[in-house]
Amino acid sequence: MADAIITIKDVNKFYGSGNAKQQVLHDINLKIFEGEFISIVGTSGSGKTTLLNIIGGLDRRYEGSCTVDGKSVEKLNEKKLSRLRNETLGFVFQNFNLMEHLTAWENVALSSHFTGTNIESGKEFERASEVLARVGLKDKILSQPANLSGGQKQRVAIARALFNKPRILLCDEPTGNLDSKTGEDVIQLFRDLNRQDKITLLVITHEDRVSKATDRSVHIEDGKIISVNSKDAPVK
Amino acid sequence: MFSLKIFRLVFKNIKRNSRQLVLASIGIIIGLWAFSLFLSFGLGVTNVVEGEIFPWDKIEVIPPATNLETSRVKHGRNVQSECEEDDYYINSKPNGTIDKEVASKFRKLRYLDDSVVEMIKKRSEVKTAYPKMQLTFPAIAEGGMDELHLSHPIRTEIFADGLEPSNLVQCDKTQTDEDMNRPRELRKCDVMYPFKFKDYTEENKHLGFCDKNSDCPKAIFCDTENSAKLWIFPLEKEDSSSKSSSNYYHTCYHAVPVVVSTYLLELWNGSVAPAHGYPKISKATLGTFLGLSFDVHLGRSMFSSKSLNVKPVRKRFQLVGISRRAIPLGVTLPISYASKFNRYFTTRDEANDILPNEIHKFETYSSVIVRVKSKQHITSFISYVNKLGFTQKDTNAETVGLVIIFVTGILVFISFVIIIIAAINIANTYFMIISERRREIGIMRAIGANRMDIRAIFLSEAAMLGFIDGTVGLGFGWLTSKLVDWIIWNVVPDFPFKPETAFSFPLWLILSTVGFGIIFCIMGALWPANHAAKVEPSEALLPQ
Repeated sequence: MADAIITIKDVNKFYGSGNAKQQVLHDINLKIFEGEFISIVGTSGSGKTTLLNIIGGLDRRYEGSCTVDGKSVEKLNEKKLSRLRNETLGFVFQNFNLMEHLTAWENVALSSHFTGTNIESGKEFERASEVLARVGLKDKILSQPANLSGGQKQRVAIARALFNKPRILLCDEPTGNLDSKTGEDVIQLFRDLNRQDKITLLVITHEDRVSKATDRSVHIEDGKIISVNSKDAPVK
Repeated sequence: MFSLKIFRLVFKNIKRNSRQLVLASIGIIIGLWAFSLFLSFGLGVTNVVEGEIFPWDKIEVIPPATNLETSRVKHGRNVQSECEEDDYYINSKPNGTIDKEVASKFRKLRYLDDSVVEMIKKRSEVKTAYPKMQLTFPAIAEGGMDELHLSHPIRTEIFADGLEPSNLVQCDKTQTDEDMNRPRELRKCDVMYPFKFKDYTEENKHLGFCDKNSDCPKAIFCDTENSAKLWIFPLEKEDSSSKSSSNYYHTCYHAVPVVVSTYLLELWNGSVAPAHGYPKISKATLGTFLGLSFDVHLGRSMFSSKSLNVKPVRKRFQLVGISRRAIPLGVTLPISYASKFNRYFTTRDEANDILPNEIHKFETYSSVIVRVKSKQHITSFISYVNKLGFTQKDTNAETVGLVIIFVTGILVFISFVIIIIAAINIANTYFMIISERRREIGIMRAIGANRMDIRAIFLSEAAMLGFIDGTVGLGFGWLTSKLVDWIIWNVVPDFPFKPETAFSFPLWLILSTVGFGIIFCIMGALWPANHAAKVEPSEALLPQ
């Protein structure tokens, strides 16, 4: 097994304050290894999206430590954290979150507008075309999101996440808004990205078919890890 | 971040929110429209006032009101000693009497003579300076009946002064033709071909005798009065014996060439001509007016019954040009004529000698017209003139200028109030837009945008919006100015100094209008943009 690319240690997360204070994550400890395809499974409100936000540096108000690619997320300043998200991480959301007024390639290349990008200036369209081709949307480069199906939108969202050549892909219910056939296609795409492109994939899901496709699935219930199932690797 | 590619994103964002932003922009556009229109109007009016009515760089130096030679010498010290020109420093003798020679110098300085003109010309502040000599006696002009096809001649009291012909631009045929095709404000010729602005005294000597105009060559007039000697011999004491001689002095002579001011032209076209039904002087009719000759009764007055000690004479004057250097209300003739006329009409004693205190009337100048190099030089030059003991003619230009600045300032202030209110509206709109785009902000943060990036996106949008608003506001302002100009020329009755355009759009005004659009839109968006930059991505991404 490779080295851990994500390490979560004693993470606790609270919402609210005073009497309304509510703990949503309880002493979470988890290591995710480079090149792993892992799922976090749980019911709605179990804390899986909160955990993903912590790993992705979108939420830094927590106790404990979270290390991503050797960097302590809670210790990074604003600029370094943005750079980490831009250069190392890629996000895929349940409801695609595409910008309706931009074309497919403009959505994909959106991160090139921000500070710190792995793509050479002037090569944005070329790279966007490349990743759109990678997700099977070579002929939809100039399409508006309104003209795409749900599956195509999610592929554009995946292409956007891949644009900056990330090492880790964080996916929050990526098949939640897709029918079963399209969902299967997306899961296959993730599998290909993991196997062929060696991208570490962390998928939040409540669907068994998704978790079964991953190398390892972590079950969370009420903010606690209750089990870790692995296909061929020992439980960590 | 601040690369060209951001503009595509920003432009698409503006396009997406175009309806909200157009509504929010209306106030900014109105404010900038008002700003550009009011300010350009103020500048346009100032240009007319400072350029044509009261030229800012023109100072008319005149002698002080009193000419009592001893009034400025007190207790052995002359206040003139403050004058920096040592040549004119004088002291009275210890016993209190005044040295005649020194007093003579002092007297000179009390009047504007050639030496004073030279002193003024040498000043570093001065661009040009030329002297003028006013006629010191009344005169009445009469004529125009045939030339202007009127039922009766125009008769009016006339003011006149003299000017060195070298101070006017006298054009040949080619120059005149070129000049006629230029806009009024760019014309260079003061005297149009074939006319000349010069002293014809020498030429008159060889024109021969006559009884009527037809005895003389074309465009030459017959002087049937004894005053003809004015043209041939300077009227000196020894000539007085021949003053009563007969027709011997009836000679042909060139009319006295005169030029009138653009100011008078404007008054004629704007007030006199419409009021009395006289034809206007336009580019098309200028040829009719140039060359127009009329009688001038020198020594006569419509207002004063005071009789002069010499007989009034009638002379033929001829209009040969229009010049900014001409006296505003009257006619300007060659200065040598003015000197001869003034000499003729000076007061004499019983022995027909010119009284000493009358000599200045034909030996010194009534004023010196000075053009300074820049506005900054006005104060120091006036100070110098005052030290010399002279003063300057008050034209009220400063008062008028202040009124224009004050009115323009109020209008510009009102337009700024509109823009500030509009900027608050922009802020409100951006708060709404940011609320709508909250999730989008979260996505951008998730894929690598830092707070500065988010702030820059919204401020860039505001800057582009401001640029568009500024350009549109300026465009509307320009169109409105064209409309107002059209109304002035086609609907509003003629008035003096009716300008080609009442507006002026210099480059700085164009840039500042667009610049203010950008600045105020950025100011309006600053608070919302900072608010957007502080949005936590995890909160922004929560399902709404």
